[in-house]
Amino acid sequence: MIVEYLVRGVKAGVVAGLIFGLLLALVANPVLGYAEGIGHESGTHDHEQSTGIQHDSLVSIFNGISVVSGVLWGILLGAVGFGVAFFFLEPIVPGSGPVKSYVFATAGFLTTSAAPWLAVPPAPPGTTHSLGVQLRLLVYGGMMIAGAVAVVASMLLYGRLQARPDFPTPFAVVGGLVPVAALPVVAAVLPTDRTTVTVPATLADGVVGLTIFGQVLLWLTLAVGHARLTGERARDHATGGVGQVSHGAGGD
Amino acid sequence: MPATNAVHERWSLAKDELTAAQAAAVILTAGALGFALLLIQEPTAHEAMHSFRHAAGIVCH
Repeated sequence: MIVEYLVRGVKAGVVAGLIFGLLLALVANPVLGYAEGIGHESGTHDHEQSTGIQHDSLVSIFNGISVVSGVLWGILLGAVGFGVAFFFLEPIVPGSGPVKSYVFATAGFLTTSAAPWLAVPPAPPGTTHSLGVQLRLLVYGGMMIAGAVAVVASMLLYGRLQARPDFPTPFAVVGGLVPVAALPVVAAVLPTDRTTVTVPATLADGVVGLTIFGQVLLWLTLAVGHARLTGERARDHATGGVGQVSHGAGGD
Repeated sequence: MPATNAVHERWSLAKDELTAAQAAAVILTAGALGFALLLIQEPTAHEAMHSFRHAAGIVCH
């Protein structure tokens, strides 16, 4: 059964990763390259790039590597999120059928992106930070852990509240969201990163918006892919007369 | 409570289905991929993945 979940997660991850890779190739690479150039002019970004003709070929190689990294990012989130984590957490994920996939994708986005961004928001190229890279990575990782704890606590709390007869579902939803709503408090306790943006404000807004859109799109495509694959699997079970697989007999 | 019991069931189910080597393979592969994408600060590798990191909103220098 876990193998089946893992395969489904990786499949959804490949599709989501390819779409994210396309966004990188067609939109993010040229926009970030442009912002990078402007950041360089103001001379604050200490990139070790060579100059001249070599620079152009390097840029295209780096763009290619970035696209591949984007595809791998989708596969990683698909495998770890929808493959492994969803297998263990499925019993406590609210909703049923495809709704589960979308709720879980929201939880995944909160854990891997939204929670860390509360402490270290996405920054355009050429931004100077008051905190070092190592410390910011630690803060990012710490907020990921806090995010994971918060979403699991929210799911458990929602399940408890919803099971009580005196609690209508909307109240259970609001009550269940309390741990997630506490995340900004955790972010406020961590060391603050003061940033100076060197690119024009409009461009900076566009780059940050692109980052947020990209990650929302990635989780949305993961959820759509996962919901479809789960639906197909359920239909196969219903029409093929195969009983619900419980122990041992796995495989896709 | 039933929800957490069900999560425990998933845990024992996973232990029944996977051998230690298979579990290790999954964890190591995911770990290697995560390390390569998120943590490598070696200048050339970091530079090459630069626009990916910005696009994904992961910490960058």
